[in-house]
Amino acid sequence: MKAFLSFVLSATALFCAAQDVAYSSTNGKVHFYSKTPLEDIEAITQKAIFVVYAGSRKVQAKIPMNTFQFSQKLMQEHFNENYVESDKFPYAIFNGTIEENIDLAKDGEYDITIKGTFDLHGVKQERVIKGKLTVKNGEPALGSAAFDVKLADHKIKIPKAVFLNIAEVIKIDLEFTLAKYIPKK
Amino acid sequence: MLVVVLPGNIFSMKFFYTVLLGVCSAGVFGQGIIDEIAESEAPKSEPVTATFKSTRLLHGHTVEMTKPNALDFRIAHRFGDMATPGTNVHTLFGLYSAADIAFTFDYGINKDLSVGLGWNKGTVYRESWFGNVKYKVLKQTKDFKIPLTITLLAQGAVTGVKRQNSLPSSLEYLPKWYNRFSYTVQAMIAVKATDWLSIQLTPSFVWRNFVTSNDKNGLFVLGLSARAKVSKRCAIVFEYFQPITRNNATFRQYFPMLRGIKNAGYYAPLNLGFEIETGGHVFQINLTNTAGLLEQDYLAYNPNSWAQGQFRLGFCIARTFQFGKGINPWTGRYKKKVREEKKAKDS
Repeated sequence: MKAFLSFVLSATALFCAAQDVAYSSTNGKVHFYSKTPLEDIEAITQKAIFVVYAGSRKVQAKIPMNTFQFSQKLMQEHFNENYVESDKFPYAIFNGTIEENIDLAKDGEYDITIKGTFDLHGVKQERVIKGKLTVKNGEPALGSAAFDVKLADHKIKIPKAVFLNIAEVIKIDLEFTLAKYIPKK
Repeated sequence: MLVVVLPGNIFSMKFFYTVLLGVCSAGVFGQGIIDEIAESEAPKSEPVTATFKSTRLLHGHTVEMTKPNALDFRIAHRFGDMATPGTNVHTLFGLYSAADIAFTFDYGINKDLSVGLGWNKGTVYRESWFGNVKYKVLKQTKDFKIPLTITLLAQGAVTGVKRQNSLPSSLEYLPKWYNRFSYTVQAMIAVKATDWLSIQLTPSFVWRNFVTSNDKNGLFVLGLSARAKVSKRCAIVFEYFQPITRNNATFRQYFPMLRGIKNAGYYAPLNLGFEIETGGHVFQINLTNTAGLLEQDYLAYNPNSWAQGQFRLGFCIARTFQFGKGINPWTGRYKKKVREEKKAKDS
């Protein structure tokens, strides 16, 4: 009996794990924008990694900080060296779950709310982020979101001399296309 | 909990482990995918960034390059002697006089090649109009697979001073037109040892077409520079240049100060500075016994000794203009029209 129970339970667990198909993106677009009356600063990366699990509705993101491209290369160097310290904290990491009980096998465009932790500059913050997820041919295909990051929340300090040039709250928007994850052998 | 209820039972152990395995595999497997992707996507070996903060440390060049399509304009200034017997409040301890002033324009052709133009007042070797080419040949990587960054510099200058026809012993006698030319070649060899310490060795060769009769045209110099970060935006910088070529004449001797030689003629440049970085600017407050700002001047002719109070304050202001398709050079950001076009394309 116990053997049977153990078999059923483990089989269920394994089945669940097997059902939790991962969809990933390695060329996700993340764009940020800082607007002040003195200066607008923006940068974009096309190398963000996103993973969405169709079964458990988990969403994960890893954004390599040193891949952000600025129009001014000197600014890019300062961004990496002084602000996000990308040698120490190479990635911005998000780990969350879609709150809505949606079926990610059913085609359609869904407004989603993702609740999770956002780790930037080594400081974790609980965040609720609004976004959109499109399911095509029974598979999650497109995702997008927009949110704000308050620099002080993540202990990113702005020196007084450039206080007026960098906004306290940075606007971020992102989008990614998903494909079924195939592990590399 | 099941283990507690049924200790020693082989089935319960198996049961526990299978459930555990099932749960764990779901959890660990889930976390693993994104890390796996990140690892395979990450570049294998990346070059280090910002070994130094600027293309020049105090007087000498560093391994750093002007950024591609950027024009770096700088005005460097060295004040007069601070503590020689003649200096007092009437000269504001040297601040009322200018030992040297240099204007330089550097333009980054690509990320490994830049050209520069400039002119300076000079101290002994005066009124130079100069041009240089800088080329980065080797880049240190973060994993130390390549442990060094090497940049080469070639510089030529022509002096515009008025000829001193009646003074054959003067450096400004200049009997022939080609006597006005001088050259420096340098190899900057640097290592960013840790995130706060960078060290550079600078073997240099200076050639002047015209020298006074007791001097030699060629001079080998070995430079040592270092930068130690004390906080995220502040660093202490250091520079020392030791002339290697010996001369039989009274000047240009090894370590004249340590050997007690007074009036040695020329001294090795020893410079200290404090570097503060704010946004697009690097401010340097420096204390140096070096007055000249051009290699041919300060490496070959530095008549100032720390021991005799011949040190001075100096500063440098630099401004970078970023050029490129659709970029406004004054602000360094994309022009409004380009931004709007981009936005329209995205949506």
